[in-house]
Amino acid sequence: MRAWDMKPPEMRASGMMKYAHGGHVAALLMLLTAGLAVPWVVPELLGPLSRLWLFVVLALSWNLLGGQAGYPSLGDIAFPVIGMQVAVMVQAELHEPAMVPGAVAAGGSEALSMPDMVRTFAGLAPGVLAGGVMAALVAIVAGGILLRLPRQHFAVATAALAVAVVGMGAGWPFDSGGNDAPVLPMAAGGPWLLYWWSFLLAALALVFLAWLHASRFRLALVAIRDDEDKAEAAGQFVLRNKVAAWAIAAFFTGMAGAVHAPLAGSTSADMAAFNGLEVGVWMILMVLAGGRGSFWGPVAGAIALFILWELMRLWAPQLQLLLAGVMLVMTAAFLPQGLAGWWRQRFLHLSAVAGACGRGGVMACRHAGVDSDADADTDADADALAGVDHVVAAGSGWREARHV
Amino acid sequence: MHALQLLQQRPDLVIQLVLDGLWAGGVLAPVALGMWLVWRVLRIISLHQGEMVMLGGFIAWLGTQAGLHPVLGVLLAAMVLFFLGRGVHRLLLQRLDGADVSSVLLVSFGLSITLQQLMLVLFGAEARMVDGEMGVSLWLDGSIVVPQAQVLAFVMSLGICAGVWVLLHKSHAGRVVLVVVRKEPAGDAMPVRGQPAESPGALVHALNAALCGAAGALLVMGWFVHPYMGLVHTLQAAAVMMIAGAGGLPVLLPVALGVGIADAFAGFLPGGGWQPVLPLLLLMTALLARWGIRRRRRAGLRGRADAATWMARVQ
Repeated sequence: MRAWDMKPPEMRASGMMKYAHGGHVAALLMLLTAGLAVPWVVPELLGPLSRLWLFVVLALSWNLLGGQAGYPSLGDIAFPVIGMQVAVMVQAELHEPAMVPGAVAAGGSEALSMPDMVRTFAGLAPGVLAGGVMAALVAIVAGGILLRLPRQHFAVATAALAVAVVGMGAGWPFDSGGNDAPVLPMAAGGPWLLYWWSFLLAALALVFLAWLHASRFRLALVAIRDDEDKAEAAGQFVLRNKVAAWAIAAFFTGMAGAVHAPLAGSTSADMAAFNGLEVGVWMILMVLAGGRGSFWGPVAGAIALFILWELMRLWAPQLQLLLAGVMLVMTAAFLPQGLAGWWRQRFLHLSAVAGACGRGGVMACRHAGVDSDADADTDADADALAGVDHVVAAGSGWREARHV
Repeated sequence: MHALQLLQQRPDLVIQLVLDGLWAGGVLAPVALGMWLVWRVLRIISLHQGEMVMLGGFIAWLGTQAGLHPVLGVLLAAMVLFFLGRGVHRLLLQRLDGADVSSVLLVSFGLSITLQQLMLVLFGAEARMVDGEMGVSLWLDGSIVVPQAQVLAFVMSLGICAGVWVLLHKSHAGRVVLVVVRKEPAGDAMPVRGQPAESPGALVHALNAALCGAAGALLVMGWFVHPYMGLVHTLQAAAVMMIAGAGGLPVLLPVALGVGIADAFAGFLPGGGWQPVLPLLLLMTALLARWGIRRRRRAGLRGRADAATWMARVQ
């Protein structure tokens, strides 16, 4: 059966049309309008609000592979680091004179003249783009190897990837952990500019990922989570879909890292990449608390946990990550579908996982007890199905299904 | 490659690095064995492995601060961690028995962060070591330094691994565990005679935690522990486990020693820059090797499944 044959009629409308029914477009527009208005209402919160938008980008990106496809990556923090490093290098190439060696850090005293500010702002654009593209390329290469693994092995390998990238980043010439690394004079000049950068990035991510969430690509990802072997046997390019999801996530997170570097006024791989693995942890927690696999869950989780994050930073910075760890354990153990699942159960009287798994999903929900993560090397079922793959693919009606 | 030239000129340095690596690998072996058990029996990759090692190290350190002999500290750490592992299973992991793999994995990941931060808050970030007041052996006119505490810890570590392995094969509870280990995943639906109704999760988790605790106590004898050491330890143990595959201790042990030696060299070669990358390289090597094996098997299976080929063979 084909993916869209299983869809209930109200979901057959493609693309954004689906959201027109549920008021999702309205919610999206309201969020973006709020983002446009808020810097004029509370201009003193520009810095935190910029970070909030970046958090939303991170959460939504992680949700793509970690939530919808069920491949939890523990090392997605590698991509912001890569994005930041590439962006700083590109900016340094393009705007050498605007770099002040080791002088202006975050909140530095040196105010920039207007032309300087415009120039650095313009210099950020190719940098951010290059950072995102490079992160996506790394995801494609690494994903081509790592995403062949069962999901637990993948999670461990991504943690190793993050350790490798952050470790290598410490020896990088632009790292502001070093002594005379040049620092971008952005933080001194333009919190407004950085807010608009973060907001632009978040708006792009929100609109694009909302579109993707309503597309058949998400169904393909949900099918991977539900039962990867069956999805493969049904003729889908499972590996290609996973790599694509990871690359999209890496593109957005890489750009977020590139914007965050001037925001924090630091280019240290350890620190600016959101304190080593720390934001890597919060990023997962945001999605988990919000609700894996849904669209608004991660956004809500990002906003809620961002507030908590900032409060903890003020009151008890040393307990920040401890709280994250405890919350991660508690959420994963006692509320695995997050706030979205709770909402769905409490107010919509639906199964907690129904929406997260996609009502139009190809396979039964994995909570129904399907364990597609059985041993990789000896799973006879998978091997037998792989043999069937060619037969299936040869059938006439299946060709379309392969392009889901 | 300045470091390589140095190694060529000073063969004693090579020997020193190999010895350091052997020691590190020897202490890694129990961790990898515990991880292997949990993976084979419960199909969970334990991500808080390194943090349990760290915890064991701190417990042994506290024990010696209170006047306990370091060797007894190993016992203490193993015992405390045994019950802790059991508790973690009872409280958290047991209720996730039928849940999806990601939830279990994320609980384990959260545990690793929690333990790391807890120890950081309680004890601070500095490294702790135990002075067992044991001497240092100097070989080759003092160019090779071998602390006797490391020799003792190495021997004890191998002894613990061997002991657990023998116990697994000889005791009733151990055999019950091994039945599950040997059960091929393809035969999941088939009941195995003598297998208990529920998987021996509590025992395996407790045993794993005890192995980690002992390893941490041994580590603090010859080296040091600090709250941030967990992740790299977990990754190294995972690399060992994945390279070793289904073979059990006879394969795990040499692989662990090899990984230890590789780590020692990676730390020495170009300015230590390769050390953070090493777990990734090892994992990728292991996984590519497994992938190759899988492809070959898959090809074999397809051949067998092909009815025409089979008929041709029969005739």
